[in-house]
Amino acid sequence: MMNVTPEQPWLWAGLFAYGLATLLGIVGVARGRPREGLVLTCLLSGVALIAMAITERWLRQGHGPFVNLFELLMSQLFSLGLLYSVVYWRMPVLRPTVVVVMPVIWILGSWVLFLEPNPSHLPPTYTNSWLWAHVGVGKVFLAFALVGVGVGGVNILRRWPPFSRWFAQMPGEMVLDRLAWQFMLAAFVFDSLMLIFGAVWAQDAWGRYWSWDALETSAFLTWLLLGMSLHIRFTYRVPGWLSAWAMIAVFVMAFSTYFGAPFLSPAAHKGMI
Amino acid sequence: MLTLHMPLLLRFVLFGMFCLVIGASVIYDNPAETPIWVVALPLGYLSLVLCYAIVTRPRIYRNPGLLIFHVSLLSLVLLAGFGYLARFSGNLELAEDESFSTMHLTKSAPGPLHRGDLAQLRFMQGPFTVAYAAGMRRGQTQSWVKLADAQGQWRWQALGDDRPLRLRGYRFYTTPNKGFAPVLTWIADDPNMPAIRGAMHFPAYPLQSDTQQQQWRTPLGQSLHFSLQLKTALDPAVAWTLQKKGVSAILVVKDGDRIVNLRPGQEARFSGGRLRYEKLSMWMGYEVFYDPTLHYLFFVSIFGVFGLAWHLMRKIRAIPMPSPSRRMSTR
Repeated sequence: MMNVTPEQPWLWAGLFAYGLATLLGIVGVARGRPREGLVLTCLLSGVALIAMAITERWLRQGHGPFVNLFELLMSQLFSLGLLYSVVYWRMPVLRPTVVVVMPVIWILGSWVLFLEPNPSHLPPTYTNSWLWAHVGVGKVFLAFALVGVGVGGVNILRRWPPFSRWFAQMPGEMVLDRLAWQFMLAAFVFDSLMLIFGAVWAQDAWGRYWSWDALETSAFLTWLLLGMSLHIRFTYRVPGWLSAWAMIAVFVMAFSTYFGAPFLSPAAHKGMI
Repeated sequence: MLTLHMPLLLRFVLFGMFCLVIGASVIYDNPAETPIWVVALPLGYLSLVLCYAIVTRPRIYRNPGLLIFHVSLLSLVLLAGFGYLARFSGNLELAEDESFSTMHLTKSAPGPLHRGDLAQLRFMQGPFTVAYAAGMRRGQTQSWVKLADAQGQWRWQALGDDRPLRLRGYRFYTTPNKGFAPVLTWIADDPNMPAIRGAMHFPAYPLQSDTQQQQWRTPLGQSLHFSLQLKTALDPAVAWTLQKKGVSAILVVKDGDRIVNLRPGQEARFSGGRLRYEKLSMWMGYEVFYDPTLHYLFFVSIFGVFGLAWHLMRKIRAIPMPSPSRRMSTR
């Protein structure tokens, strides 16, 4: 018989709310009758329910969602949902990006459903306050990159006839492309901060600020890739669809840094275990 | 002055960044066996290109945000390079009641430009505890050291996993490497030879709890084999704390075929003198790190991000933002 931990029902309910937001968002955009209030309500409900799941687990284990993949995915579902809700609320022109953004969030959502909610042990170096700063700005970085991908994704989708009608109300390709790269530039700012705060934490935790371990190098490659993309985009006239693929490449690199490198390499962040 | 057309300069920049991507991919997860030049060379090349771009490109030097960011990047590379040459890293083991000296270093790697005064540092190791959760998962380390203040008075300071001891720019970090150290005195039969007292560091505990053995050669050249029979509260299934308190240890000394069991306070006679087992102590392993550029690196990098954020704000203001109604459609 399957063991259900106390946080799982909250998590499932949160994912259901995200699912509903995805469905309502896509159907609304496709039919040209966006139920934006309902979509935002579902999004915020999902955020609140996942926050409950995190709180439940935090109280039970005595530490935050920083250690295993189940916890990292859960906390990313919370932060991406929350920051995207703010963008959805404050930037009406970007609301149709729900068609791209929510399915991406759902990749995390469906992944977490297949993971065992195993208990985790907080390593001794994880009580440092720089960890909070590092994780916090890292979440903002990924959220901005996701919104950039959402806007860029619209530019890719609208090239195909079935989708062109969906986004007819949105600004043209060039304006959207500029907007998307502003988000990527904002992501670059927070990515830089994430590397800086991570280095300060590493200096306190492991006695060196940089050691080219798998996770550090992967994060640096993401930063470099984003820097290269920004240089190309702000110097050349790049077609909207092509620059959107560059954003997707950066996001995929960031995604593999978050959810790949720490769990594929036993040497990632030495001293973690 | 020769001025390169922007796209040509950008090609140089992208080439450097691409080389850095290759270098970082080569060093990925294998820094110990990869020569540092695989990243140092592209970084050096990029610094030159960056220097040129800052001086010649109005798009950079007329834009305060971009100028701050790029100058910070250049400064970071230079600082990191100097820090690499001026740094010191090393390891040491210190038993309780021992005062630090450079003699305790088991490994040291000073950079060619390192000019620190490690030998002037004074502190004394006190007791320590290491908490373990069930399943032998290491928790918090608390290590106390005694420091001499300006008035010559001793004061205690607690160190931990992410709370290093900071002395004149040097940082001493506790490590998972620690163990037991019986304090022994060798009293030679020859009254002209002074007694030798010291702590014998046994292998790391609990990592090597099954192989608590050590060797020592007496001043007369006789080799003695030691093993430590420990009684601790170690039970992998439950949480426990590694500490000296409550631990008993019998020191088994093997001299050829002869085996002697010693408890604290007992002694035994061997060829040329007597060996006294004074008491059981513990040793803590430390990592030492010194880099004179650490604070500068932090402030320069934050300054660089500030420049980037400034540039971002200017770009955002420049966008003609289409703004349909903020009202939510609920149809």
